[in-house]
Amino acid sequence: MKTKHIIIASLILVGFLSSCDKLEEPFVKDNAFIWNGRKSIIFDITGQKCGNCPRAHETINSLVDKYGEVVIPIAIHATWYAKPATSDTALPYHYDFRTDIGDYLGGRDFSTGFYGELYLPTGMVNSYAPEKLSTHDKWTLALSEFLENYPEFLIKIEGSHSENDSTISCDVEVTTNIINSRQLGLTVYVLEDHILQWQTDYTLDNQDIENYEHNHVLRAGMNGPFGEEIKTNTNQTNVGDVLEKSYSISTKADWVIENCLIVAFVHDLDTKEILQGEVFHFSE
Amino acid sequence: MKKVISLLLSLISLGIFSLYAQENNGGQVTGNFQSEAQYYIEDSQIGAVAVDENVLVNSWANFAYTQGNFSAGFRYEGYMNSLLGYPNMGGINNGIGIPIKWAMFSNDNLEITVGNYYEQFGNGLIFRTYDEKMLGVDNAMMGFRVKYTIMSGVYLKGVIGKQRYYWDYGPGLIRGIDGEIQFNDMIKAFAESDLRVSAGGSFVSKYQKEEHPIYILPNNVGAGAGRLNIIYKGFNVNSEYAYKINDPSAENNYIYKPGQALLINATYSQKGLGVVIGTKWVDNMSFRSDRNANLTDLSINLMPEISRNHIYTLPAFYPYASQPNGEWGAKAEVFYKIPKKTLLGGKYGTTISLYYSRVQEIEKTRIADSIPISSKGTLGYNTDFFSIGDELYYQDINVEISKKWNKKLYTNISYMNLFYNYDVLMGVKGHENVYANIAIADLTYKISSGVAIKTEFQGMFTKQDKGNWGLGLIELTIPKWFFTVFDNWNYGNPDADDRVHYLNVGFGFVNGGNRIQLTYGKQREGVMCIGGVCRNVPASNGLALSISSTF
Repeated sequence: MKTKHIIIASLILVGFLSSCDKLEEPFVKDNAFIWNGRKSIIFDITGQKCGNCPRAHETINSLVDKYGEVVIPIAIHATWYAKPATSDTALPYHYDFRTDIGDYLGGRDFSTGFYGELYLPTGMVNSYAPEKLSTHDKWTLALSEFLENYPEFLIKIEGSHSENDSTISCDVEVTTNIINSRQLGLTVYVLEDHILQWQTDYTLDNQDIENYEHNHVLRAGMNGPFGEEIKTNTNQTNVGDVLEKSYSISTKADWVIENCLIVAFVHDLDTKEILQGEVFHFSE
Repeated sequence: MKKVISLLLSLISLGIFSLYAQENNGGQVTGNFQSEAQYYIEDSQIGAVAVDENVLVNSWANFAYTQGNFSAGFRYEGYMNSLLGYPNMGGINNGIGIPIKWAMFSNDNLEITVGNYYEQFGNGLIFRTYDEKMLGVDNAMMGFRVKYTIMSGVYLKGVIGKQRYYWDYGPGLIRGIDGEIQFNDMIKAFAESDLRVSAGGSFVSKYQKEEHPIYILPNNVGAGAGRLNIIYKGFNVNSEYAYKINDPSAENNYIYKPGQALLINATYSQKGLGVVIGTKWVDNMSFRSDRNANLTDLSINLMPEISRNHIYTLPAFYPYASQPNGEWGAKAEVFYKIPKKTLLGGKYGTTISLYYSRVQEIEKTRIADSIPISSKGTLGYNTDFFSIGDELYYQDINVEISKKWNKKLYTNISYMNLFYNYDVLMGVKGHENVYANIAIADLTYKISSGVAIKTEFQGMFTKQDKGNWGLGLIELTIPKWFFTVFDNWNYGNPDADDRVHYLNVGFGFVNGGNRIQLTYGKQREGVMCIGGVCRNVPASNGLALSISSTF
């Protein structure tokens, strides 16, 4: 009888022991996208009179649709394609998207800028190194290299707007998330969404679109085209170390503040890799 | 199906009670009732809000019928609507009904329970279901439980079911088995031995269907535990080790690391002296029947607390909240009663207790340089068994001296030194840690038979958080009645406008099994913990009514 009890107990025990699903790596399903917190900057060098540029915009839109906040696009209007056709506001292509930063990077009108002679659309993912310039059909692949990376830094932006003195200000905190020994730069831009202006599109019969929605348009840099150095040595930074910076810039009359955003990104001054980005929306 | 079972059990219970009412042929009915009501008044100074309903009420009543080897019962509960501060996200706890119903019978060595039941395996490291109304926790099982005495001193328990989740049940199915051998009962030759040894083992598995879009999750998660209890004269050593396989969940940020826990408590007691020492090491042992649950919802296990539950108001301001994702703790406590008729003992003796507890993080290292600790979808981190990290979570040093001076006067004086890691224990960032010294004097003077006056003077001195607090209480007890007034004053708040008096007045009536208490006053915002499980307590101002009755 006792033997019977022991057998029954053992069987029950074995039954429960089989109720374990011990898993081995990888723990991720096939084709699943995992984001570990690194946000990616995509520079889209563009122009309102660039008839192929809407294709690059579509690439960016599809990436934003798929990856959401992971992707931070920056549309830099530069080169001859960004030059207004007229100053008469009643006529097409009168609006001036050009900025000092855009002029410096891409060149103003027929002059060349930091990146030399450009063929639009062009751009880069998580880098500002000239050799990383690529056509928009390469951006998805380039982005995939960074998607699952863990961020070495976390960025926090607190933005504010003063109507009294027409300024935008921000406090930026850069927190080390993975121990590293990088020399670090921080760049902060002001962007604007939902600007309805003319755009050329070569795929259309009527190639001039009057109310084309221009998004994430670079409006100004708060600390220059490549920002400023915020860590000047290669001493190790530890998890939780915080670097803080504050910036302020005057707004312009045609900026719609509710549509504006501040983008900050940190980059390795040696490799020119952009390591992390962040956005602050004034509408939130 | 659930409604059918609920209806059947309710009908069975009602049938039983009607039978009892009609025949009363030897059965016994027992029960209790409790109701907690609060009228809320807005008070912007302390952050207290009024509610649309004006009054909120939590009530419940238990009824049980026992006859011979059979018993059955139910609990009627009503949250109309739920008191503020109790778990009630989106009004999930509001409602009225019979969430608990059960029937039980025993036959020879077999005991069967159907319906709801509470159970604990060992110290609860892998399985403990319980009801704690003060916390709003009720993770009762709904299903079946079998207890079987295989032979004298050898016991086996099996459970299966789902856990209560407010007015519903959690998605996970729990299966568990627990066995214990009490060697002195099993082996007759050791029956009278001073050395008493028992050993036990348990296994619990939860099933929850895997439906995550990204991660491959285990449908079945198993946890096992082994325990040993040794008693020799005044010594008692109780120990338990538990292991849980990969259990990615919201609470551990979906890491796949197995969990472990070790608990050891040792006590020694003899006349006038008691010593308790204990340690606990916990790594990734959150275990819930819904991998997406958090706070106090659907916990399958409970890590026993290593710190002390303080009964006085000010020491309870900063209670310890267990950290199932990782903690190490140790405690030591000594009670000594200075004998009667000595210089320090006086006529009735003097009791001194010293208590120390400390909780720190466990040491965690990265699984790879590029992967932060506890990154989602990874093994999380590496840790050595019983490793201890540097960060201090909590420390409590206190000394308490209680003395009866004569037939009329009794005093209890205590001092406490506290460290409280605010960020970790409150789940916030950027708050400074709290270092506090607390002194308490509790005096009770018996005026005559049944008439006594009790006073409490408490002071908490800290430069952090809300600064210094003082509390004065006076309570008069007369036969069947008591009257209380106390003021909890935040006189050291760094903001002079927030140096609030939390004044309370109340009285109560106690007669046999009935107790009624009415209180008016303010309550500060804070946290309340019982056994390391906590809930937020919102600031409130208003009238509170408490009624309880047993029969």
